[in-house]
Amino acid sequence: MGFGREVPISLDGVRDKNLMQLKKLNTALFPVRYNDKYYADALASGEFTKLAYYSDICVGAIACRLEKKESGAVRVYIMTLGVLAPYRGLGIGTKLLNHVLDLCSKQNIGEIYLHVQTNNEDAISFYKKFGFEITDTIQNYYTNITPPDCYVVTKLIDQAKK
Amino acid sequence: MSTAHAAASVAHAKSYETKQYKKGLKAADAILKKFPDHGETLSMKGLTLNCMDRKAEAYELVRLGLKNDLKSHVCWHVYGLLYRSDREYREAIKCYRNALKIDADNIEILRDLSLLQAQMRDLAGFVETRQQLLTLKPNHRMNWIGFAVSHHLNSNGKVGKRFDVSRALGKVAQVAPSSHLLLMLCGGSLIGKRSASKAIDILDAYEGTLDDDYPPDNERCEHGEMLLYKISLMEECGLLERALEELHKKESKIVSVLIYLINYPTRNRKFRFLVKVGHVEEGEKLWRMLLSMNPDNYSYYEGLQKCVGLLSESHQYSSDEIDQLDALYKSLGQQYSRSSAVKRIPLDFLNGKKFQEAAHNYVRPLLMKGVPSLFSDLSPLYDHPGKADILEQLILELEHSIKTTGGYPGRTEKEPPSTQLWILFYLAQHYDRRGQYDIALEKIDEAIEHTPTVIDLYSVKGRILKHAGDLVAAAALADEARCMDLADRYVNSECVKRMLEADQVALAEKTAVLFTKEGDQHNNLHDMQCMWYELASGESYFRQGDLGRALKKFLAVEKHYADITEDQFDFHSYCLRKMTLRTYVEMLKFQDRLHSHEYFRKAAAGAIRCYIKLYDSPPKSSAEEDDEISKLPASQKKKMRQKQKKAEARAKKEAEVKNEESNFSGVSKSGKRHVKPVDLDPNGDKLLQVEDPLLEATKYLKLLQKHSPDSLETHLFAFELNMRKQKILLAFQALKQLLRLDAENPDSHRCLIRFFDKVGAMPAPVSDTEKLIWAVLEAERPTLSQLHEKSLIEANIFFLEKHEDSLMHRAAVADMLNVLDCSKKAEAIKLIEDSSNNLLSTNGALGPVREWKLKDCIAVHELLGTVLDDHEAALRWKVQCAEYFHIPHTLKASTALPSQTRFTTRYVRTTLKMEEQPFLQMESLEKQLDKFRDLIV
Repeated sequence: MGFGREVPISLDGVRDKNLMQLKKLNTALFPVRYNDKYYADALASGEFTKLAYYSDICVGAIACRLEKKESGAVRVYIMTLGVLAPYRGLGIGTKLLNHVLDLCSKQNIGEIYLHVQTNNEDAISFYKKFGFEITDTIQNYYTNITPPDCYVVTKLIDQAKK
Repeated sequence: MSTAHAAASVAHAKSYETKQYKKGLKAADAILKKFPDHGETLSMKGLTLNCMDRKAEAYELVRLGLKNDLKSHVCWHVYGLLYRSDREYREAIKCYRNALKIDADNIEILRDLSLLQAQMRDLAGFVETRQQLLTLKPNHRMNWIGFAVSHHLNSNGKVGKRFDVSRALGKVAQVAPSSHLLLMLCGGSLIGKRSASKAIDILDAYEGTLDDDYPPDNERCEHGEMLLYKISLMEECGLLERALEELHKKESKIVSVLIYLINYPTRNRKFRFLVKVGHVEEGEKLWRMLLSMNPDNYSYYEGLQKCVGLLSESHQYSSDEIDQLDALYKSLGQQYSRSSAVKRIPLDFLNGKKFQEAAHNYVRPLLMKGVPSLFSDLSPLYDHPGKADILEQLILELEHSIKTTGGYPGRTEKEPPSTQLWILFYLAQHYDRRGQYDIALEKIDEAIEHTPTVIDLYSVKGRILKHAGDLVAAAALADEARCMDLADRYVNSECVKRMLEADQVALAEKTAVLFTKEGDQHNNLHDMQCMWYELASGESYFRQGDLGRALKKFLAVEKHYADITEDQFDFHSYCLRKMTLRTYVEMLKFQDRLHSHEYFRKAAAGAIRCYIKLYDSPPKSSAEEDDEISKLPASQKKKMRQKQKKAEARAKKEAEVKNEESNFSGVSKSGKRHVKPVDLDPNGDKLLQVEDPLLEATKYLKLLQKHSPDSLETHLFAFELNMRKQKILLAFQALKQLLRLDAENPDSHRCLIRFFDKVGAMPAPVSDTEKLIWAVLEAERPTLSQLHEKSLIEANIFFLEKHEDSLMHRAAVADMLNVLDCSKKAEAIKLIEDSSNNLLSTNGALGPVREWKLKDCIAVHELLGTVLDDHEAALRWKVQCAEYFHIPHTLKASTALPSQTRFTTRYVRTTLKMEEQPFLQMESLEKQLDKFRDLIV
């Protein structure tokens, strides 16, 4: 898309002072109402949760949770990734996801995964572009939406040089 | 006294100066042991105690010391210092004067005295004292400057007697005949000149004492300031050519070139002269040079316009002038393509087609970029005839184009998606400004739907709801905006304001203290002189009938102004030393008109309203209240008592918590305790117990009359107070002021009719005074054109005929009809109900705009319900108003988009209620209107 002028896109962290921005986005983007634990996890993940700004407007976000596996290794779970409808197709989602992927490889995190509703083909093809693969299917994952099933979409990241 | 004791006394004085008070006390006591009656030591001991917060003892000792040694200048000086520390400047001046009688040439006392005289604006005395100081120490720079400043101040002298300068100078010459400079000052040229020009001569004379290579590097700033001060004095005296000449001559001495060029408008000053003096061409050149340095400074453009003869005060230009201006700005625009001022200014003078074109070019890039302030930038244009319509059409076209093609009309290029958001944002504010609240809400909701993360959208929606009359929803929206950025003080403050407007005082306080310092938070707002907050909560308490708390807030603001007056004291010595003379004189002038400031006016008006209400309906004494309770049935009595007890317990607990908090915060890091006096009257109950509320109100009225004589409100208060005090002539004076300011104002008309109605009903005069008053009124009445050979009823009808189409005028006439003849109440009500809400002329593209304002409708409702006392008519009025203001409608509109309201539970609750019980809408409308009823007093 060509605009008269390039609009700068920047990322900013989530803090308790601007948490409401994330809430506003989620309300507009997802049919699910997220609970307090979601927001606590997002805040705790630090750099792994980011708001995207189109010029000065907050238009999208990626929110992650850091999980400790039994082996002691850390993996990243993407809780939500979304961009407001009018601002899609501008590379904002890509920028958000790339940020998290970069962070994973910098911090030697080997696994990143998420859940996608089985009929959400746009999302699945989006993640496939980044090397994610469907690794599992969970029946009746969702309670209020149809189809209730979801895929587990995972990407294993090459460990940086040790 | 032995030498040993003299030494001890010196030690004592020294420890005072170095603030070693305990040591000082010891020294004093040692002397007093041997000489218990030694006056000066007693005085000094008193002064020391004063610094240790033992006021009562201090006064006792100082007075005793003085009694024992009336001939000591030290004792008098100390007494003066003591008074000064308590801000009793008049008393302090008296003491200093006594001290000077004993020791006329004491420089310290003279200096102290001069500071007090400046503070109290005893300008003649100030001149005299500064002159004495100069005579005594002519080699001190500060004394020259002080003398000059004193003359300058005295030249504006409204205060004090005129000072005979030639006599004083003669005296100077006598005292110091050797000083040729002083003799110069005595020169005949000085006699009869204005004091400001004397100040110039003094500064010239001072410069004459300086060596040629003055100033040294470390004095350049000060010296430059002095020169600029002198030049500004010349300008003030109208000596423009001389000022210009001086400026040219001293350019090298004024300040460093950089500051000279950019920082301070020395050059602007020069341009001002140039134009005044008529050096227009040179001026134009210089303005253009300034523009090349900063092409966004509006005043440079104005200066340039003035030089080329294209500046009109009224901003009205002939079509020929407009063409010239257009050409000027087009060429400037090519030169400064990045300047926004050069694009914005033409919107002010262009009209019609050219305006449309220029506006089009102006708004498009800004809407694309996303400039939230675009509407405020353009809002002055809404006062120009026709421009609002053009803007509306223009933006609607852009909206249509963006929505259908994603780009601006006639262009294939797409604009960023946020463009649509900013267009909707602008339109919402546009329709709000035009009073079309429904459309405004539609637009803002659409914008929120488009991009729900922009805080300004919620703020503006809150503002629209406020204008539409839904104060509670407005507060909820402002709170939503606040929650979106908890680190933003501005949205926090705006939210507090909305909450106070909706009378949610407790919630507002909690929100406001989020941005105060830790600890004693509520007091912090007071200490920070947060006046808008105090005024808004005072108003809210007043609306809620809590006169005590309202008064407390209003008087707190009044106190801030007293403090500001007080704060200037330190600058009298500081500024002379630092040579910031222009700023100093400016500050003094600002202080002189301090009480004309809007916030003071509001506070004084608020306090006066409280006192009037207090007078009209005094609070019931507790005995009366008990009496009323005893009349109630037993069950209700019990309930009420329980309620009272609970309230008392709660209040006590709150007070305890607050006390603990303040005690906790009172301990600072160093472990020292700053004991703050506990507020003994947190609810303002004591303020309500004034003996004579009207007397209290008169105090503030006098300040308003002195400092805001051109405000209608001032004289309305004067009228109300004096009518209540039965001061007929003063009330008449207020009436005449009202007629002078605005004879066509509905309230002026009310006062006119009420006054003569009251006078007419008074018994025939008996006493001489009464007869005199009568005679004055007899003589004055025919001079009022409104009453010329007319009865009051006729005057009332005449006023109606003149303003038939205005709701508020009709209401005033109806009100007075009822006052003049209470049998005509039905006629009065009909007069109001026959008013028609006319359409304002607009292009009518998107629904009509009507004339009536919400607050006026509320005032009329109040009139119908309470003054005319017809509840059915009041109800009918509400129904009629509901049609125009759509108050339930605005609530419904907000339920249409639940996603925006999900986070404000309070808001959701109100909207849900509305949905569940639609048949209650009418009732809730009544509640709304009830809430607003008290808005207007």
